[in-house]
Amino acid sequence: MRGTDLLARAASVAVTLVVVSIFTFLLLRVLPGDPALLILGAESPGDTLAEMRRELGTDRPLLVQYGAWVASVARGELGISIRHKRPVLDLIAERLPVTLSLSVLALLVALAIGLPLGVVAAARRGTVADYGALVFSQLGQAIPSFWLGIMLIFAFALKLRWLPTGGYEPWSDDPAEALRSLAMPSLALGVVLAAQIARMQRSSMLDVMREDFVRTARAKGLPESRVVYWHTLRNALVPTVTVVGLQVGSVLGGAIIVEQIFALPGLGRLVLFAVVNRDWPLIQGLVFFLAALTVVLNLLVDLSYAWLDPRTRRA
Amino acid sequence: MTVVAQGGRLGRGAVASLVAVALISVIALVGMVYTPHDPAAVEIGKRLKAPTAEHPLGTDQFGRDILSRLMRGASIAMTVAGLSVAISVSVGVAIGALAGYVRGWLDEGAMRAMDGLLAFPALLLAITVVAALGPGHRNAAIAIGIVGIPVFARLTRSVVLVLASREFVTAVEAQGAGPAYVLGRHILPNAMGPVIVQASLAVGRAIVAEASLSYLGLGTQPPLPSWGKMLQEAQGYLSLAPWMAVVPGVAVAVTVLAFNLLGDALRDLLDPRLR
Repeated sequence: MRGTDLLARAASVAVTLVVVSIFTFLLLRVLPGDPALLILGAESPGDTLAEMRRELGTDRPLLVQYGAWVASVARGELGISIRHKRPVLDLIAERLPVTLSLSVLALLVALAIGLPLGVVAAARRGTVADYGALVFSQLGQAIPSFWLGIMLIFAFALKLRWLPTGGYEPWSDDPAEALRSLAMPSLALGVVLAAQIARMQRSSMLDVMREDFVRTARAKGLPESRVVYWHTLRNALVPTVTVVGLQVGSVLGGAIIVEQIFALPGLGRLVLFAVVNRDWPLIQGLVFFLAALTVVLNLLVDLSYAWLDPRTRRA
Repeated sequence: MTVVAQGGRLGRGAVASLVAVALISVIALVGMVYTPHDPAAVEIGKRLKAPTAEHPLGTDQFGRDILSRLMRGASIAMTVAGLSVAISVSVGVAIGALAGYVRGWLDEGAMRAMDGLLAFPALLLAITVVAALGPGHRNAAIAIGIVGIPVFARLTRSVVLVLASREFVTAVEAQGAGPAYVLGRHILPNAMGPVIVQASLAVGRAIVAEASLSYLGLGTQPPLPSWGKMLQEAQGYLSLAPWMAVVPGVAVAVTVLAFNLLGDALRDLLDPRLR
């Protein structure tokens, strides 16, 4: 990717972030409901309500509120949680490692299952292996992660007693325990993505196999395995990486529910805590943080194309 | 996909998905007016009973009939899914059609707004909207509908962009037809194929989203039964009554699978880009 392209891409990311900040801000203000009233309850006296509105800043004009919020975000602050009485950013920093570990492991699980399935299905098109991969990808996309999670708990925690039913052990305390506590959650979260990866990898392998350079490779007399694994696989990865990139948001969103099932103290649990306790500054900060994280991760995926497929470097 | 045979005749997969969707719709419709037992009737003496002739799918922790709850849950899941997809389609198609046909700053602004909406993880956006509106299955439908808008806006825009430059459209415009007439009479009817395909897939996503919100306690509220809430309750009784967790999970998976396969079959049939 050339400098000007990079600049244009960065500019569009900046515009998206501004739009995201406006949506995050408006979502909790334009929709009916007075946060102060929701936090304190309908019976609270008028002066307490007024004080809460002043604390939240909701007594000021919308534009002033937005300006103040953007200014604080620019300073690297996301406000103070009402219930925790602590900076939102500190709360996020404490829980981010859990959510990131879960998401990264889920992605690894997805790639470890999805890529080989897609490759084998394409290389042995029309065989039992291909049909099996098709069934897996259809079922994987239909089974909700939270049901899979519950079934995994039933099998591996309650019946076989191999893994804990939930909870989290920090990596710094005991890496082996951390891995054990994240095994079922990352499988539950990763299977949907694995199904999508398998499907995309199969169809893009089949597309690439029709290209001239693959025919040339075959005509040179290269063994079929080298044609499939060396010439086709790498070139077929680009559309799959796009799918992975588009699913960054759904992995982070899915983490919310998977963290709930397995009682993992990550950002998802924090989101739910904030919603249930009507902690407005915390909701706002978390939603903006997660959306911005999604946008930045998508940018990184876009940049990885250039490394995978040199032809896109000048696109 | 291989679900449809050549020559416009429906393949086995397509027929199976159609039959499944029809069957689920019938169960949902019947569930609105008739269930074998009252889905909310508590009978503590019969709690956590394994399947019997009287309760074919067993009972839950309050002795409520799981089959009845499953049927009423189907009505609610399908209502929420239908309502939310209707919101996504109507708003999304309108935005996409205007953006793609009028172009200019309207297009630019609308697409930046859609990019912004797409930046939010879907479930997070739904949770946030429900947080602002308050929990319940109607608000869940609105939230899920809003989440789906950008998909239909982008899709419609891309199809309209292609159609607007075709000769038959230029011909109608040269005859002096107004933009509303050209868009409504000539462009949109030709753009419906991909929208219908996407709508079928969106129903599957909405079913999962409703179950997710209800699992988290933000969607359908008691005493109304919901597949997601049933799963959440079942988690507490996994060793005592595993059937409680199996039944609603299968219901969600089969419904989503049916609508996904239907979407694939419709894609082969309706999407001109694949011909």
